[in-house]
Amino acid sequence: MKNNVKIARIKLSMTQAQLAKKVGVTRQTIGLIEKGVYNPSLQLCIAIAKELHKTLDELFWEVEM
Amino acid sequence: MKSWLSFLLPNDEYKEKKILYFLSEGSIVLLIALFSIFISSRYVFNFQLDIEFALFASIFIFLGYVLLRYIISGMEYTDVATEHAYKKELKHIFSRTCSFGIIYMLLYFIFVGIPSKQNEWGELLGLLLSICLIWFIISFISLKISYKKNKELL
Repeated sequence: MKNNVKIARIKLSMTQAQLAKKVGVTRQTIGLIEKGVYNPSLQLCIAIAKELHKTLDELFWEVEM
Repeated sequence: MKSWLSFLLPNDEYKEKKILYFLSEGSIVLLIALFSIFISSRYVFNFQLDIEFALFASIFIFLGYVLLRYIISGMEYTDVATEHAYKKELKHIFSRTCSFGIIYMLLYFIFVGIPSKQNEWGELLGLLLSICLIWFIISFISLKISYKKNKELL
């Protein structure tokens, strides 16, 4: 699933490890989500959106930001 | 989702999902193996497996399959993405393997006693070195694959 997690994270100058720690997953999981290899659960999507100060639409909807 | 299996699973949802897949695949492989053994022993003439061997083979098939899938998935060392972290983890694996060998030997001396004959020493050291070597190789392969996977995800 394509998403804008990486762009939003970089805009906040946050590393994968920092985001991973905040949402309670491993750095590898964040990397897999950013690459679109792993589709996270809704619970994790919400946690990521909150940490990146974005809505689910902005991060995961298929329209470019 | 609550299950009695939950205590065995990691907190990370990706790892949890993958491990559940490996356990499920292992169960199917085990079912096929047991079914094959059953059919063979019942209908194939001259194919009679010893019960102990059949049970051991079943355990080995399940654990071996799940372990192999886990190793090649590259998700054991999730934070190893740089050369420095890789080398540090490799040293850690080496020291962990050595520590295991030393502790095992000490416990053997305490509970079984110091071997008196040369062949007893050979048996002890042979077994210990084989376990340590296999453990080190498994950990090394897992680390190598994890490092490669993590580098690609940066």
